[in-house]
Amino acid sequence: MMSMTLLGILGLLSLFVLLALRMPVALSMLGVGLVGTVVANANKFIAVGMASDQAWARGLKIAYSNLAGETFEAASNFNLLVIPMFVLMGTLAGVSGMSNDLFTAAYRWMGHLRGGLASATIAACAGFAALSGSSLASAVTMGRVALPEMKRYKYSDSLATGSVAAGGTLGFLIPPSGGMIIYAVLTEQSIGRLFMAGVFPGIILTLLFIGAIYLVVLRNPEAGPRGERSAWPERKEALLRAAPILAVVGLTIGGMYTGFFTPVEASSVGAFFTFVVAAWRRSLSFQAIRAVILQTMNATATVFMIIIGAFVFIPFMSITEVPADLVTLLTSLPIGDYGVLLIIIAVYIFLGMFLESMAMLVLTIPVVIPIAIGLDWDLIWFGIIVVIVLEMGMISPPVGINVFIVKSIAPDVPMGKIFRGIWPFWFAMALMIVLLILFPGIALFLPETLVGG
Amino acid sequence: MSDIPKTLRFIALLDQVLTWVSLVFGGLTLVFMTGFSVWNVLIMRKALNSPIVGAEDLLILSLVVIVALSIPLGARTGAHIEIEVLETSMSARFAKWSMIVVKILCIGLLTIMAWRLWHAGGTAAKFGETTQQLLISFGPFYKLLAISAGTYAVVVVLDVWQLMRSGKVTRLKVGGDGL
Repeated sequence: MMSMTLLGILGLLSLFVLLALRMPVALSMLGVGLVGTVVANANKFIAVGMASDQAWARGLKIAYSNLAGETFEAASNFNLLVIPMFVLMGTLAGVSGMSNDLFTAAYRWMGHLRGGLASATIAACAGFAALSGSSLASAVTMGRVALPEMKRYKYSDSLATGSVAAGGTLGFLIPPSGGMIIYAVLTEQSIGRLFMAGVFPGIILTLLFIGAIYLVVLRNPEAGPRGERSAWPERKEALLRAAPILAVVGLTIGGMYTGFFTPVEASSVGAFFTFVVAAWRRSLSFQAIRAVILQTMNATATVFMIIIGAFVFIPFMSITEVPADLVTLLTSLPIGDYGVLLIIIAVYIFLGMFLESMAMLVLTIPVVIPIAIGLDWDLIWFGIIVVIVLEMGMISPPVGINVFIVKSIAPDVPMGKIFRGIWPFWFAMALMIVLLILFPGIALFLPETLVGG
Repeated sequence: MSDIPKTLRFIALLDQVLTWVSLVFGGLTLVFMTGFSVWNVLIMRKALNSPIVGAEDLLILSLVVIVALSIPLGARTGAHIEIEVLETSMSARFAKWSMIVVKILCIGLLTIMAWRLWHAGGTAAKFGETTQQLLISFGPFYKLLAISAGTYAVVVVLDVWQLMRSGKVTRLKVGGDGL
């Protein structure tokens, strides 16, 4: 008979082997969860004296029942309705050219400053993030709009590409965020509270990114020359063109924060009004509608399959004693809560160099959350820290996904140059984490004030 | 005519079916989810203070439909995330054959998943698995997910065939980016 801890460790090792062999993350978790549940339950029954063949049959029955039950549970989870709806909202905003209006407005107001175009890119990314919830979508959409402009004004390649790659990551932090939704569902936290907790860190991180650009151009003014100063009527006109988009963001996010809508309702209302704005702009051709539907379903498939995998894997991890053993081990170390937190952050940063952020999120939650609970951390605050560390992974070498996205838009810029350009933003994120650790209220103030403790 | 073009034609046909099923049924489901939810929230609940009974039930079932329709499409487009860090350090031969073995494992797993979901669909009525307010049986929706998992398995079988034939898998392109 095998100990539960050993079984858990074998389960994790098998998972890593399957992942390394390029089995889809969802199916790897599903497979290990299924087999692990059989073995763990059979072991438990044998331990209480049941005959071996009966114990295995019972274990198999439980695992089969879990497989069907958890799959249906994930696919019919009412809270997860926000995923297709927010994705729909983002794809509608993307195909209808709303991103151009956001960028133009930010550019008209900030373009004349040194490094202003890069700052405008960050601001537009933050605005688009409030519509889309996807870092990749933000990076692609804004990259296509902003990179040619920055090239025209002779921005350094590293600052131009770095600002797009980093700005894109705001999609993962600024609500509605796909990462937050998954974290909330897997840790049984309120999606609305997490969204609220992401607002101030999102705004502060946007400002920190702009501060990082300021420091870069202060050191090297050639990196971000000034653009033309727009006249006031032009600025007002650009702002007016972006007004419908900002109104949709205000209605959706504002409605959610004031309690007028639940997150699920806000997602549907947001998708509906984004559709109305897109239709009003006459940007919904058959091709655009086709792209919206297929892209929405594509992203829905990614998220739901991975959640189904996690729903099957997490119960198996709970049966094993690995998370509990890890809690005992970490809490027995003479490093205090901050020490444990720093270890977790360091592990995340390390994993972020190799793993895709959403995969990393679902793979680590079963192990990390029991530690956070054991140390009595606020899971909303911890969720925001996790999301920011995952964002760092998106721009960390060697496999930062946003960097590859930017590379696909700017193929003539060498990878090394793009990675050099992301460091100021990477440190801005690190500073944001330090601020969150020192002042948890940055994340918790809004949910505690609006919803209560 | 040889078998090779037949299989390729089957893949092209499958792509067309998946695309059109997604566009028509997926599109209608998305329209329903958005429109019905907005109607229920803004008009019935906020304006008339008379929310539609069972609205949540219908939205939940719509979600199951959209998930079931999305999964096979995602399988063809390559939406299901894989970690490709070690691929560059593998020999081409190892990369190909390990991929084939992994995909065969996936086929087995998806077949079990489809079987168990179909079975659960058959017993849903017996165990009283229904929506909360309208008491609609979950049975057909379990079966829809079973078909979805089964179609995903078929897609992976075709991936294996493509890998054995040309060493690479050609994906369906829909544009856009994941979450």
